Parts: sequence; structure tokens; C-alpha cells
Amino acid sequence: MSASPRVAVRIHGADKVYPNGVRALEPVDLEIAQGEFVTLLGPSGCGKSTLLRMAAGLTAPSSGAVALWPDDPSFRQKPESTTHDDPLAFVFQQPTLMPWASLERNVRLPLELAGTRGAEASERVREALKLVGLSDFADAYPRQLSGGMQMRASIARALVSAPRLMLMDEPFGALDEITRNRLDQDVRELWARRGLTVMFVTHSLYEAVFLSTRVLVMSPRPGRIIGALHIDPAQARDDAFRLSPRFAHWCRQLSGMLDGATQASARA
Amino acid sequence: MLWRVFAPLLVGLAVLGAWHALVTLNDVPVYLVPSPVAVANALVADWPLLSASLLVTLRIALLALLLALILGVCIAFVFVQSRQVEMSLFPYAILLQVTPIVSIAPLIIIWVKDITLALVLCATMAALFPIISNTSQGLRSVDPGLLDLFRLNRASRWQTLIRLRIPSALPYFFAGLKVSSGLALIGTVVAEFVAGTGGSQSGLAYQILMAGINLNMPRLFAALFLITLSGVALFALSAWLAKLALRNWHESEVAHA
Repeated sequence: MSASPRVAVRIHGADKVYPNGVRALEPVDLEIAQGEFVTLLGPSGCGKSTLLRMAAGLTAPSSGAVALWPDDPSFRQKPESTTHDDPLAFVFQQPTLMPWASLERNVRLPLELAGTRGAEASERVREALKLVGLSDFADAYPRQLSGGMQMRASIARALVSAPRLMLMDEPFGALDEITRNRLDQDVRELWARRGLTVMFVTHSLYEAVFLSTRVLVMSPRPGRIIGALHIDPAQARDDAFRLSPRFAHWCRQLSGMLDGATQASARA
Repeated sequence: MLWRVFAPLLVGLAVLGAWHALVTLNDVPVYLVPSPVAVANALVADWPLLSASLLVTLRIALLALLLALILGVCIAFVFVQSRQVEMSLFPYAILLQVTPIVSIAPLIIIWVKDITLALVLCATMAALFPIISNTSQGLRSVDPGLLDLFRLNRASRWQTLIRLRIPSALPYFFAGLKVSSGLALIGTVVAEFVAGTGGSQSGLAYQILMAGINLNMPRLFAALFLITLSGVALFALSAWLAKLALRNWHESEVAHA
């Protein structure tokens, strides 16, 4: 990595006002450096998913601008450009798998849409399934798997195109706590091993503390970023961490920020 | 499992037994209500005549179903291209659905010289709407998350159609096909009644018409039985196709343990 970390996401004055006049998001200024694990934390309806969808190019900001790798001339910023090495992958709240296709074919989809075929595609699919521990289920259909396994498959599909940036929209919100903790740990390991940049949305402050290098706290509607908490990147993220005083300390800090946010919006 | 086969069979036998008993005990004349035995005898004795008619009717119903399937799917594709197109055309599709086939069959039979073609067209009109309506709804009922995924991966319109919209529409399409399979047969029989075609072209409806005029009740019942059987066969064919296409993934066809 170069001395000065490159910017992966630059959001400048982006806001969202719906046609009916409801303001979902105040103008946001945000920079995410390459290699960061940034979590957007806030209550329902705070616009955190909207912000994430803007970064993905799935939702256009009402005004302002969103750019990925703005300082990288080789990277085309427009989401509608047709470059094939896809720089970003999105993991949805639901597994969002095609029910009519086996896991293998589900994970292969981004490669096929990009025109990668044959042995190379097969090899990458195999690797991605192995990475999430689903090698034995390549021929299974989504409905035959548990919710946690479906979510893993969804992550495998995101990883298969070797993205530089992973955008994750409350991916484990629908899972039980035990499964969620496991998957959080897996995501952390993938992030470290693959040198990913991750932008993660959650409403669980425990998940935010466990995963992130930086947590951005958002206030309820109209959403805005009201605070940031840096979490020691050198801190090991394992089961012991969840029970440690440091973990509790960071959770308390975030909890205080969230309380401030809800009180402020209640007064407004 | 065995019970699932035997229970309905038992009911059927009981009804036939009661029918036979009532008819024989009360000395009901055969020109009013024939006994099941008389119907079975007619089925055997008139088999050359009835089987020829059965083939005529089945052929027309199958052709109509096939035509309705092709036309219906094509029209559904046109509908989902834009809301404007659908809004302008859908009322006419409904018109097609609500117009009783028996009221336009005479027109079609006058206009179309070839009688087989005329009958096929009538039956197609009867069978068309469920396929249009279900398929177009299916093509629209795509998981928005998957649509986002395809967008993120810069899928072309064509890729999205082939890989996402068509598979998503399949369960809807097959539900429509099952309804249409019955309607195709009803349309065929109605058109045959209206046409009243005799000779080598005569279908089962003509046999019923003639048997009624001649008070040949056993033959009438035998023809009726064959029509019912054809309907069941057409439905079974559609259900089998649906199972073939959906058995691995769709809730409606997955075998439940």
C-alpha cells in the first residue's frame, strides 16, 4: 500500500429528497480510505441504506456527488460504464439468490454477466464457495439451505468478482445472534485477508464495534452523520473481544452518541 | 400414499354403484338415464366412431392450446415493454376474455373457410387470456433485490430478460397454462356445437348433439365421459410440464417430505 492511503469513496454534499418532499438524508460529506472498514450505524429510517445505495450507484443523490476511487484515473467513475473488472460488490439485506439456480450458478452469475466463462470462471466460483465454507453445497438449491448458509452464498457471489469495495446493507439483520456472530467474524477475516474496503450498514452497535475500524453514527430522519468513533485497528476481533472491557467501553461510547441523536431529533 | 389413490377410487365406485342400483331398481328407461353398464357397453360398441371423434377434438384442443401459449407469451412480452403499451392494450385483452366464445363462434365459422382452423381459432380465443395475464404478471414480479444485482453487474436488457425475468415468470406462466388447458377444451367443444360439423371432421360435441337428437343416451354419456377424460388429460399434461420445469426450486412443485 502506498504511504498516503488512497480514497475509495468520496461523497460530497450528497442528499436525498423524495418527490413527495420528504427529506431522507441531509447533505453528507464523507471520505472512505482504501482498506477501511466503515460502518454506518443508526436507527431505522436514518438514511444509512440510502447512503450505501448511493455509493453503489443504485440510488442517485438529489444533489451533490458520489465518486469511487476519485483519484484513480484508470477507474471509470460512472456506474453505467461497461468496464468488466467490477470494482464493487453489494450484499443485500436478504440473500437475494435466484431460487431456480444452484449455488454454483448463483455465484457464477456476476462472472457470466461480465463475459467470463469456462475454466477460469469455474475456478473462481470454486474458490469463492470455499472461502465461505460452502464447497460441499455447490449443487444445492437456495431453498435447501439455512438462512445463514444462504447469506454465505450471497457473500461468495460478492467475492467472486474480486471486488475492491464491498458494500453490505444489514446483511445479517435477519439471522439469529449465534449465526450473526459467526458471519461477522468471517467477514472480518475476509476483509483482512483480501485487503478489502468495506462499507457496512447495521443498527446493532455491538456488530459495529466488533467489525469496524470506524463507526459513523447517524441520526433519525432526516438522516445525517452526527459522530464518528475510531476503533483500534490492531485490536484482535475474536470471541474474547466481545466480552472484554474495551469492547464494552466502545459500545458505551456509541450508545451515548445514539442516545444524543435520538434526543436531539425528539426535541426538533 | 395408498389411501390417496384408494379414497377417491372408492368414492367413484360408490357413486357408480348407487347410480346403477337407482336406475335398475326404479326401471328408469334407458333413453332418460342409462346405467353405467349401458354406457360402458356403448363405449365399447361405438369405439370406432367415438375414438375418431376423440382424436378430432383432442387435436383441435391441443393445437388451440399451443397457439394460445405462443400468442399469449408473445403478447405478454409486448405488454411488459412499457406501461403505456399495456394500458392501451389490456382492456382489449379483457374484452377477449369476457366475450362468451359461443357468441362469436358463428362469426368465426362464417369468416374462416377451413373448419379445423375456425375451430382452433375459437378455442384459442377461449384459452388465451389466462396465459397473457399470468405471464405478464410473472414477467413483472421480479425480486427487486435481484433486479438491483443485475443492474450493479451491468446486465443488458436481454441478459436480464433471459436470466431473470423469464425464470421469475415461469411459475405464473404454468399456473396460467393449467387454467388454459381446460379452457381450450371447453372452447373446442363449444365451437364444435356451433359448427355442427358432421362427416370425417366430427368431434365429440357432434356425437353428443347427434346422440341427443336420436335419444341414444348411452352414446351421449360415453362421449361426455371421453370429453371429461380429455380435459383431465390436458390438465395432467400441463401439470406434468410445470412439475418438470419447477420441481427443483418452486414451492408449488417441490416434493414435500
